Amino acid sequence: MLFPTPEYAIFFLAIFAAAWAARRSARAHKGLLLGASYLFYGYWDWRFLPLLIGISLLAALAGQRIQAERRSAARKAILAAAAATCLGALGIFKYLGFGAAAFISLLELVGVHPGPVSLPEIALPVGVSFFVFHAISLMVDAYRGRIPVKVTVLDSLLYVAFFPQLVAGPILRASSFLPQLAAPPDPSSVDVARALELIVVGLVKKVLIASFLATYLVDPAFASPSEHPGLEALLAIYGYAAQIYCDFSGYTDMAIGSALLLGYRFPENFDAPYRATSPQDFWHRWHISLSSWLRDYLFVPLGGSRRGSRRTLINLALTMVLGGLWHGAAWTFVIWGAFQGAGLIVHRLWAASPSSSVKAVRSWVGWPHLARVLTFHFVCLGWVLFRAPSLEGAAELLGSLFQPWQAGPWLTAAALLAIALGILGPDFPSRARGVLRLRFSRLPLSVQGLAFALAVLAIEAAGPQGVAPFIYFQF
Amino acid sequence: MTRPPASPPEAPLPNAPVGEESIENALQRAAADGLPPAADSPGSLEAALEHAAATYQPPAPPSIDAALSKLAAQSGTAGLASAQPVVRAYSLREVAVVLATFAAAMLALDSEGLLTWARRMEVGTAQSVLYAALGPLHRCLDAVGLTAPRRALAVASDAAGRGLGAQEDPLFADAWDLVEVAPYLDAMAEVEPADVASPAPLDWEAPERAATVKTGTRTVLLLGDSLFAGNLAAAITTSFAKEEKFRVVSAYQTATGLSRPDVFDWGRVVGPLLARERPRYVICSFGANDAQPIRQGEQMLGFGEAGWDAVYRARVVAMMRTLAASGTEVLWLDLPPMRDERLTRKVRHLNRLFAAAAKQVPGVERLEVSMLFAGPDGEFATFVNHGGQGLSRMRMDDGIHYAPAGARALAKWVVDWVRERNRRPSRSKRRP
Repeated sequence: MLFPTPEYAIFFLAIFAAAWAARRSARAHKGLLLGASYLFYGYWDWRFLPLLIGISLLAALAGQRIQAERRSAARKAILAAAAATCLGALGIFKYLGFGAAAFISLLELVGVHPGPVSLPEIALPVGVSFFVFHAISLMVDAYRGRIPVKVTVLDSLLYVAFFPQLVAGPILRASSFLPQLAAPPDPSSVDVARALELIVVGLVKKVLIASFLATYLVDPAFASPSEHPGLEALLAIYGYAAQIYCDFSGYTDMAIGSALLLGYRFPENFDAPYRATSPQDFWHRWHISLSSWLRDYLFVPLGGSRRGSRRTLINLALTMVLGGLWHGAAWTFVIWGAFQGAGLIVHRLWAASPSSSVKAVRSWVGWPHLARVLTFHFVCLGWVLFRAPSLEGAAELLGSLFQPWQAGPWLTAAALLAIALGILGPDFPSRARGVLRLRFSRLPLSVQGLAFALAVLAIEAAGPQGVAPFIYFQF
Repeated sequence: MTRPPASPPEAPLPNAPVGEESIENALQRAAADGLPPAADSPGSLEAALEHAAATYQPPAPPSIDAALSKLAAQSGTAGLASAQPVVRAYSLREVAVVLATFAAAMLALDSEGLLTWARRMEVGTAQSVLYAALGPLHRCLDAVGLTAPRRALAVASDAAGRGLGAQEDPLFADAWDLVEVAPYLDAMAEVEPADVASPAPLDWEAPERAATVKTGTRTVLLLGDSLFAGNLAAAITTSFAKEEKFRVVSAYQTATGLSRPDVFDWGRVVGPLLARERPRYVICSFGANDAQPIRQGEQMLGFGEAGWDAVYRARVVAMMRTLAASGTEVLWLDLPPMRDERLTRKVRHLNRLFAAAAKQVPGVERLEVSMLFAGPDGEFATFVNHGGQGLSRMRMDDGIHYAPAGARALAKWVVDWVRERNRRPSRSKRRP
């Protein structure tokens, strides 16, 4: 089920009551949360539930075995076999069709015509990329000895399947989440003001800003770029930057808020990404849980930056291309990953450049502001690749940017406001938000509940009639 | 020599030894709990220490915080959400009170929203139960005036939207937003199948759009559900983009169909839409969301039953008649095979109904599309090889919607049809 729906609200309130009521027995508490998570997942499509249970069970047993095993050869073997199985499952469910089609296209390119071939048609399970990554984190963290508690099957199953993060992250680390599961749940650690703030802000971002931008500005422009040339194309690109941030971070906010109400702390996934002053900085602020996962489980094992500068650049490129491919089985995502990798490489060379003119630019007082604008436009260019239905579509939209720039009926205050909120919103000082939270938490309890209800009511009344699908779902 | 891996520490025990707490703190706690605080008497000190040991509870949050920040530093994850201090520690009872108040307030103030939610569910026992519960509740709350805040908020946000320039097309917004829900539920019981698709006239003025269309331009109207929304409408629009003679208008609505006029009523939309756009050609794609039960008054008709078929076919015929009136040429797109086999069977059933309906209405042609989207064995295929140019991705990952290449292939057939019709003399003398 999607977060901004009555079904989820009812489901969550029921689970909240049941889980906290069962807090005295760790097993009952976690068993309830696990059952609820499977219900949450099965609501989409119960046929994929065995896959989720299978992957998490495999990771749990492998993690347990690795932790208990002393011989390093055996530990390595278990890790290799289990990780290969998980990645194999991901490959089959997500990339088989794409890979086979690419292979056949390659064959035809070199002149071999394999004739009519029926590819296996496998449905894509929701969230498979996320829970496979969780499974790998569990096994590798166990191997590296980073998990400070004993790995149990129940905790591991819950870690992989926990419903707030199940379909769209943030990607949790076993090393930081398993200890939370091992400790008894503590109601006094529930920061209600922050949780409600996250849920309301998430709803506003997702239901109001992202849906509006998608329906009125972004989808039409990306669908037929030639009909929306010039300034409209530019606004659509900025609009998409705002939309994807609001959509994804809104969903993550609701996930973090839900988990917080249940007594669990998730890592931040976004940190004002459009404030970044370089591609490297951008990846420290965007989808942080994914970029740090890629760094720790892909970049570092490849050698990271420890094998010389040329090898570092290769590792960067490879990591980003695979990171792009993770987003979807399509060439646009691969190219987007390569584009981001190229940006990281260029930035690294730039920052390490011994040239005096480069150093002069970098020490100029206005450079951080210029760098922020340049990075933002670099990222927007990447978003065109990410969103466009095909490479030709991306080229078409970029081409239509060079048509004459004129105003039109699409240039509304609403669009500009939505884009401004989406891109500059996180610049809102966090100290002011902290003060608001403090004031809110001092209100009488029933007033707090009422205020929350009025906020949700207002968002529902102002929102669109249909539900725009969340972008990151088929990942 | 390699060190053996450190054995993982046990989870913290609830009663930690007193050594972790200073003696002064233990004595203070003992004093607070009523034990004699005399520190110079060994007996009372022992008693105080024993008491402290028995009642000591390590503060869990700081230790988890410390451990987590240490681990975060080790693993390099960015600051956790809890890095900001908890402003106020709520007890579980307090959290429960806040959420319970929220739930009660939502039930009291949002009965209209809940009823809309129930209305959009699939027809079945669950929906009937919810109607039975929410309908009377809504009427009571309405009588008391508790539905006013939501209506006021809706009006305010509409006004704000208009002020900012964000206007939904009123034609479609009204078809989604049935304000008078309760009477509509009663009215549905008396509705005849043929009536539902006939457009109820709305109090609505045609905007100036028709005036800006140059004479001689032929309008192609795209009507339907999300099969258009993905890539098909875009592909058709792009095909006609360079030509002044044709103007493409997209009028699709995701998650709609002909089965559920209680969710979105195409019958109310089609008449005014045709009056506004005056299309010469209409391309339709309905049915992807229609394989679900229909509620007809008290009865629930399951998909594929004789009653269901009769009602649905009547609606399709009514829609086709409305579209084909005044000389418009209608191309009704069949549904392609789907990855899910059950859905494909349902879709084939719908295609048969479309075929039967199209025979009844002159001016409507059907386009069979399955050949474009079938693999060598005639079944659903995501990737199809068209004439040795490598495999093209024809369908999206969900196994339903058209991918860009698939949409382009289908758009080509549609465009060819339009051009071919355009070369013929017009059917009706009333058309320019």
